[in-house]
Amino acid sequence: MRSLAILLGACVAFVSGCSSPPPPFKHSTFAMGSTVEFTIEGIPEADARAAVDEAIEDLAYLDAALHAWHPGTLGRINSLLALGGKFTSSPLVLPLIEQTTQLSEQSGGLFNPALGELFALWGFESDDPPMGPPPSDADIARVLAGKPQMSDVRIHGIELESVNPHVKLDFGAYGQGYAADRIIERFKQRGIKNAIVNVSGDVRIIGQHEDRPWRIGIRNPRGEGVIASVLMRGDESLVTSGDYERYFLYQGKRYHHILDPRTGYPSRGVTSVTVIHPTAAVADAAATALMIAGVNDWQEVARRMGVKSVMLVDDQGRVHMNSSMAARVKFEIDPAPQVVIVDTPG
Amino acid sequence: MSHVDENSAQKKGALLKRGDYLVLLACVIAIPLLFSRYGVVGSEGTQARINAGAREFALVSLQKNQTYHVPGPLGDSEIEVRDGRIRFVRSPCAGQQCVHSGWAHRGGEFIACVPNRVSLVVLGQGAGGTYYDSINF
Repeated sequence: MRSLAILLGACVAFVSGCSSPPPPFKHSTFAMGSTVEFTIEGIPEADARAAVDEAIEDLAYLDAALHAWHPGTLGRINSLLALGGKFTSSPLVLPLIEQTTQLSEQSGGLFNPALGELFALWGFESDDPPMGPPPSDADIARVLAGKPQMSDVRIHGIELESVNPHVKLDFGAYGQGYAADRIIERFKQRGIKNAIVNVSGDVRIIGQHEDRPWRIGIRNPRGEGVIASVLMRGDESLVTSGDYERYFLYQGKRYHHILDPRTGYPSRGVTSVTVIHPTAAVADAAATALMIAGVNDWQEVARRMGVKSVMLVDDQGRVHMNSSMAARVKFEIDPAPQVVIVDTPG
Repeated sequence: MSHVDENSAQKKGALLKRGDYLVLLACVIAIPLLFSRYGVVGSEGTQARINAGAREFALVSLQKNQTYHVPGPLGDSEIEVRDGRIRFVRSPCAGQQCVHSGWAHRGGEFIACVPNRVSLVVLGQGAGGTYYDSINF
């Protein structure tokens, strides 16, 4: 039965022959106070390794420059803002202030990086998460009474000044997305066409994985593993903010790191928000603002911030999303959660 | 049984010779191996990489039930492999978010203890075996 042997031999040869391209180069490390993961495909491993080494240097620089309270660029700016008067700013920080001011305004102040003093009061700015107890009502009221806003920071050419001594800049809800964007831009300059950069869960992708899109899992905010996945290709970002990232339990109550500027306390009612957007920095800021906006107001805030694809998981486990997001989400849990589709107005 | 039927049975017996059986046997062994080697099948992870800091601490099989003690700046993180899954069992960190993350089993799933600088990622076999390319959290 020579024909059988030839047929089966061909099968083996086909299967082994269609295997091929090497797996993507992957590297993970700890930077910017969290985990960072790089995935690069389609270039020799030595080139990918060089790109990642450069990215790790960039992250170290950004971490030192953008840390709100450590000695460094932003730490110095915060010291000088408190003194009043004009001073020369680092060119690195000016575009961040411009964009975060715009995002803060669009979000109606729900995304407010000027409230660094409040974040410090809760202890969430620290590399080591706080253990509790929460700060006193009086201390929170004192910080909020200062009414720090991004619009209090004025830019005059390359000089900065604050008209409110209570302004303390903290780019925690923006900086990791910004870092992911910066690294992807560097990768593009190196000719990398297919990559994922994941900075503390903020994912920016370019290209695809071989002949299929990248598949990104979204962490289940309450259960184990992944609640849903999204297929991504081209050049876009997927960012999730959740109450499980940094939190402490005190007397049976969860206090997480996403603080509502209106109350000074952690936001309530939503356990996670996922946003798809071209840039990770905007997605990062939007996810924070929408988490605070909650199930009643997220559509309007998303519209003002120019964000089209949003998914919220509320504290009852229900999923709220617009049809743009619904078209891309595949639930990975069984049974799938209850879903409420609400389209963003305008 | 008729004379004709006996001839037919003899012919059928001659259809496959010893060499054909060897080819069939080779295929039965080789094809699943090739599929698994190149990740054509399945998205369940088969291995996990445990990192301590930026360095690989161990590449572990998810088929072998075992507990690993991974040193970090705060002390040892305890990681358990059981029945094809992997999790943080104990951690010296304050928040315990790594422990609360529970089990991971699908290729690409990722759990980290940031304060103790210990992380794990589930690996599928081969290029196509990783179900998730990255995890958003």
